Amino acid sequence: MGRGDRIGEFEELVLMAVAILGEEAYGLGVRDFLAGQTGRKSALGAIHATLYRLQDKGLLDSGMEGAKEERGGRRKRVFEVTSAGKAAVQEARQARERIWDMVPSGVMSVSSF
Amino acid sequence: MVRPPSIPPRWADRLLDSFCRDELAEEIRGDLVEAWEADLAEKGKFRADLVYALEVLLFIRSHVIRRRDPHRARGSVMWKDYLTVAVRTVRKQKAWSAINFVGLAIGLACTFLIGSFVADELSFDGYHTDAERIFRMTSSPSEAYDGIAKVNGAWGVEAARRFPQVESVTRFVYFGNARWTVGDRSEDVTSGFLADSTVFDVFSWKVLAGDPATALIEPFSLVLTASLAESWFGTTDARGLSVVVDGGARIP
Repeated sequence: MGRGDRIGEFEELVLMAVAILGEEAYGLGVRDFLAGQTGRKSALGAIHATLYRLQDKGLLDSGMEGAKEERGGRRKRVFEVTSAGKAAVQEARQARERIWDMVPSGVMSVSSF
Repeated sequence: MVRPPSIPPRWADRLLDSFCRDELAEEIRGDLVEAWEADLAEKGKFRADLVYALEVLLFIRSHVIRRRDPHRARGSVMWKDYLTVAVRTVRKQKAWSAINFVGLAIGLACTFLIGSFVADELSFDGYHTDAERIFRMTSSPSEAYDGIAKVNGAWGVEAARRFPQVESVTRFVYFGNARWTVGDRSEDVTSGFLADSTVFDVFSWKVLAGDPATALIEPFSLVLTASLAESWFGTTDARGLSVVVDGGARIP
């Protein structure tokens, strides 16, 4: 497994968002989806940079889609997850679950003091 | 959908054009404009423009900015040269370099030390009349652990009993969020503390209404800041008034 296949937490979120959103998996669509799900409204620049980086790593693929009036007639770049992208997400998830399973019971339960 | 008559700030667009890679310009501009139009409908032109400009600034990232024309001479060629010269000078004049680096290191270390000392000193409220004579008890249970700035409540009482030098002791317990009810208004109030009646012997906060000497002697009595009293009772003199805390359920 090469270095470029490892993904960070934010990259993982963006990848999952792309997988879920389908036709709406473009910069603003991903941003609004993640803002709704995590309450964290990222800068568009951060989303775009992550999408481009994931594409450079070969985890995403993209194409330009039809222009819409509300964007001033501009096209949008719509992304989709490649098979390498799917493998990277699976890998990240399995690594996390392996570690989760090692945590002794009760240690991670939230309590107040 | 009717196109709005106004457009995003031009200067922000020009800024974007100045750094953005040409092949990405269309999709980025499109997303920015779409977000701006949503903001315009929701928050008005001023806020939408502000967010737009901020978003443009946050696009200044390595994956977005234009790469330099490889055929043009680059400044970095010279920097590499300067670096070589610097490294050679350091190697050649070892004593001189050592004095310089050690001096710089000591100077920086002193600056940080003095800075953190001053920051610590400034972090205490100096306005209390007896500020010089007020001490906080902290605990460090073991050598390995720096400790925390709180102790068991009994320690303070015991300290006052054992040491004649201790003139007065007061304890704080963080109360945290609590739901206050006055009449039909009910809201969460944050950062409350439980405190001993001796709190005004130790700390000399200015009291606007009431007698600090007897303020907290009665159980369930409450001292408010001026802003809280204003907000809940419309006056800074809240003597004789009461609030229901957590519906009366939480016994401190």
